[in-house]
Amino acid sequence: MEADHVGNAVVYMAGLPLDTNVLFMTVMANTMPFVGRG
Amino acid sequence: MATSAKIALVTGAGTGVGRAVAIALAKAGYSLVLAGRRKEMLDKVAAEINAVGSQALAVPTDVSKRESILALFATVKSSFGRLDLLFNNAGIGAPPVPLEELPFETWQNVVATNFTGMFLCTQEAIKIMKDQKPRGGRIVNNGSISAHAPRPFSVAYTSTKHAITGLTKSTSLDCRKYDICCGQIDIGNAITPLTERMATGDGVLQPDGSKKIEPRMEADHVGNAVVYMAGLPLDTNVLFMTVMANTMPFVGRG
Repeated sequence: MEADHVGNAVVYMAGLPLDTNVLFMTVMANTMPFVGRG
Repeated sequence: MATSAKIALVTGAGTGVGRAVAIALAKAGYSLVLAGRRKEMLDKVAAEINAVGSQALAVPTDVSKRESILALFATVKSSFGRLDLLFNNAGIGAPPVPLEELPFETWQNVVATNFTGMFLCTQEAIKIMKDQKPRGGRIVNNGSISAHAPRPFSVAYTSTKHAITGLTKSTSLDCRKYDICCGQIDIGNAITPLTERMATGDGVLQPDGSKKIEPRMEADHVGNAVVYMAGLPLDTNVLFMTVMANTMPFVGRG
């Protein structure tokens, strides 16, 4: 996936007021091997 | 309804997080299908969406009933011919009672609404998304902090929210071959009618038996999060995002 999407994710996280937090976000290539098992 | 805009379906759209996400998507240029039990609430949200220049179709729906879900998706198909985004949001809680005293009917109702309804909406969305041109779409499931940790006396709600994590992963795995992305947003203490009890009176029950007022955050931040997730191309997915009131009790123990 394009790294720009990560940039936009961080911009979203950074833009939140300090009473609100993104504790975790997983952003990934949709078809990369991660979800699932053999 | 002819439109060149992307089509988003939001369940539980009449209030709270669903309403906030629907309005945020409308501001981002989506045409909306608004599903929920109370038509008068959906009509109010539709009017707000029309006011920002986007289309909205209110479809009264009870996601605990399969026939109601089938009718909803038939309306989506006949009205717009495609579906780009499903925000699987509809859900209910249950009164806090000791686990062993939870009425069976309450358990069944929470599971039917929060989990089976979400599964059935997912099935119907996939059927549209995998056959449409351009192919694919995105499904965002509303999990919860309760998908990670339970509140006291919340077995039905917590069980369904944990189950949604499995639904998210399986949908992501099984449907990526159709250019369908599935992700989950786990929300902590957004300001909605459902969380009003957290900010009033003695607050809400804590694991140590005390009651506390808990901090909340604006629901608009959830709307903006879903707009970000929805705006990604279909080769990129936010599998999980946790957005929460920064000082709410969740991180930490004891």
